[in-house]
Amino acid sequence: MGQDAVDVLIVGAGASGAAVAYSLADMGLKILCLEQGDWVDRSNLPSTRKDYELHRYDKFSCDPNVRKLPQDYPINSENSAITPVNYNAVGGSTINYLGHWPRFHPSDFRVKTLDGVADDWPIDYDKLAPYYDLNSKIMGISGLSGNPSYPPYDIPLPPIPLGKLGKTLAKGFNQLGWHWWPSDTSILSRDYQGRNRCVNAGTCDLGCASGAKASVDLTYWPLLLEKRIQLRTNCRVREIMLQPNGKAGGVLYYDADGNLQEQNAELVIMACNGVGTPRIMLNSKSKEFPDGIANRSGKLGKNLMFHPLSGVVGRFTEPMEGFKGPMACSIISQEFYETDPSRDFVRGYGLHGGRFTTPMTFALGGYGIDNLMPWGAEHRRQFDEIYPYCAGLTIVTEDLPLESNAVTLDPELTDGDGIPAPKINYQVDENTQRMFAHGAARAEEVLLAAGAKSIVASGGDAWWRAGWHLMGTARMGTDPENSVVNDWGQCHDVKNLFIVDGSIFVTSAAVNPTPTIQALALYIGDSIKKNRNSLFC
Amino acid sequence: MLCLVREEFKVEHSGVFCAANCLNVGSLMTSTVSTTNLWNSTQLALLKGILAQLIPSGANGTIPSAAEFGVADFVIQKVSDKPDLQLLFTQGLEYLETLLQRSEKTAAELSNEEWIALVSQLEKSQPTFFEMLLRTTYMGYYSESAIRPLFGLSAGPTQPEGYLVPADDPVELDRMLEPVRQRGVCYREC
Repeated sequence: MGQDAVDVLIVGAGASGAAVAYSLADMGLKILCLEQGDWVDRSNLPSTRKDYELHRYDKFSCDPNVRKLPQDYPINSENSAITPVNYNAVGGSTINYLGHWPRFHPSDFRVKTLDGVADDWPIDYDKLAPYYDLNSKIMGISGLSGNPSYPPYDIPLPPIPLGKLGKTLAKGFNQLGWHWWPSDTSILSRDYQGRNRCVNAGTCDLGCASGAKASVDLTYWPLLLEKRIQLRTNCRVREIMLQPNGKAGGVLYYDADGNLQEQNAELVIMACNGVGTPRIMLNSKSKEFPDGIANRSGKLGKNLMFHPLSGVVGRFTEPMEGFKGPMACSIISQEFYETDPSRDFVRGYGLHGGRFTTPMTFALGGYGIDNLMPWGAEHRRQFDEIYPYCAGLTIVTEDLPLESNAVTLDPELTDGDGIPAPKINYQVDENTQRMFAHGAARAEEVLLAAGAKSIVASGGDAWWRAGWHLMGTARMGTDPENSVVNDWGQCHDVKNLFIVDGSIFVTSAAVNPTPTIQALALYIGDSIKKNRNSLFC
Repeated sequence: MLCLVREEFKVEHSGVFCAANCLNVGSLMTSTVSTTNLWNSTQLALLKGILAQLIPSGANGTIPSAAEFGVADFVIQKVSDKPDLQLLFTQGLEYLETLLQRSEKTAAELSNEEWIALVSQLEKSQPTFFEMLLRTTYMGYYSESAIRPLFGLSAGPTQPEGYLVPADDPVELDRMLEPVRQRGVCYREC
């Protein structure tokens, strides 16, 4: 161990890195977190600027290939139907995520047993439930208990307002006798632990200046710094070092000045998301692991899952005020979530009733979509006669794992430090296409039942700039031949190397993954504590 | 930084918003446009004329066209430090100039129908330039504070003021959810 060695080195200061650090913070260990980005300047977020919408297409884009900030790495998604999005900073993608907070269903952990597809998880809902609950308190979750789509659980804060749009959609679901419920959100409906309640600004992706949206720079990190967790920003990890004894020895990283540094550690935890983690691990080659560290199974980088999204929009007779309120959250329907053998697809999808959007984004095709609105008289008509009256539903599909959907290293493209960029190969499978068709038809029914006079957009291809949910590329499992980590995040092949982000998902479910990612990180932290004395056996 | 330029621009052009009935295409062709070394006066006049077609005025003149703001200046600023975009836009405007010469009219003499035909021809013949111009026009126009209130949004930033959305009455919410509760559990036990 070198002079600068630490007990625990966490790579990534986002949702999962912060949660696992919190879990380990009371062990009396020397813990260091390396983050490739920096703290976000909260005094100058785009949402506080008059030209706020422009930033969505520039330096605050969700797409690193658009932002091109020094801390970003490019992503080659030429061979992908969806491009990954993220944010690189303290807080990671919780800086620009939209804060929708549904949990997995119990059945999501048992897809092989129940539905004969993919694989079961080696853990179950009951195992994660206490960690979901703990995380809810730390993040400050708003919602309404009693959702019949889940086993009972408590929620710290009341739900955010449904708004005119949400209430209208709810009428449609009730008319059809279908499930809906106010969304769980990581957005405060009341002031909570020094953070202010939501002001319904409707631009959650542009940085929440009020602090109502739970990004982990506001929730976990103040607690972690109090507990003397060390955070080193602007440090980009190149590779994980392997020692002769087969253990990870630490990492090589580029510091803020671009100098290559060595950081030794007793234990290394990867928390860089479902693209960033396999990227670094694939780049960590050695004689023992020529295809990337801890990759004897060959599964590292494979089985990438996104949650392909599509949507349906209806035009109502009254203005829907779709620009008011948390951007992606109002109500959720899980009427078509569980497998139904009478349908032509397995597994299911959610219908999410978020809000609508702001004028520039409407003109450019919608959030995550590049499809310019027509010019001329038709432009005028769409803005005057359609835009104010729109309400929509997003179809959020379960993405089943396919080995051909994968992250590899690009042979030519690199980041600013010369580290190979990730290359994405991804196609939307036929099962998802059938879900899209089914979901679009059902969403049209809801909108018309809710009072829409016409359907102005329906279905189509998966949204392009919408790879928010990065999962599956270092899957959990009990079989080292078929998985990268075991049932508590420990790499089968390198016992002091752990992964806590969405990479370890076995399947994707059909809900936003961050609550499950953080519950997993807390669970893995707890497991490390419980197994401390036998960690490396 | 783009955003800084935009703020500076706003100061310079804060008085541009005016009633649309003073904004026929002919008046635009003779109005003063930003000085630039990129394009000649005919090309600038063509640019502004096209902007008026891409986003026309509406609602009996209460909604201005894209030519009535500093969208042209936004376009110029957008391409000014990007040589590849400069080339694309210059070639596009030169193409337009050629079309105009063939018509044997000045930009100010074109009828509305002739403008629409001109833009349609541009869209068909120069798709890359046209898409970039359209995208940039939408970005320049809808980033104007004065436009947003026309569609119900506040003119200023969304934070910290936000919007008022009343909290739901728990009794009313309970009533709305009663049918959902009555149908019972809808997840699979396992």
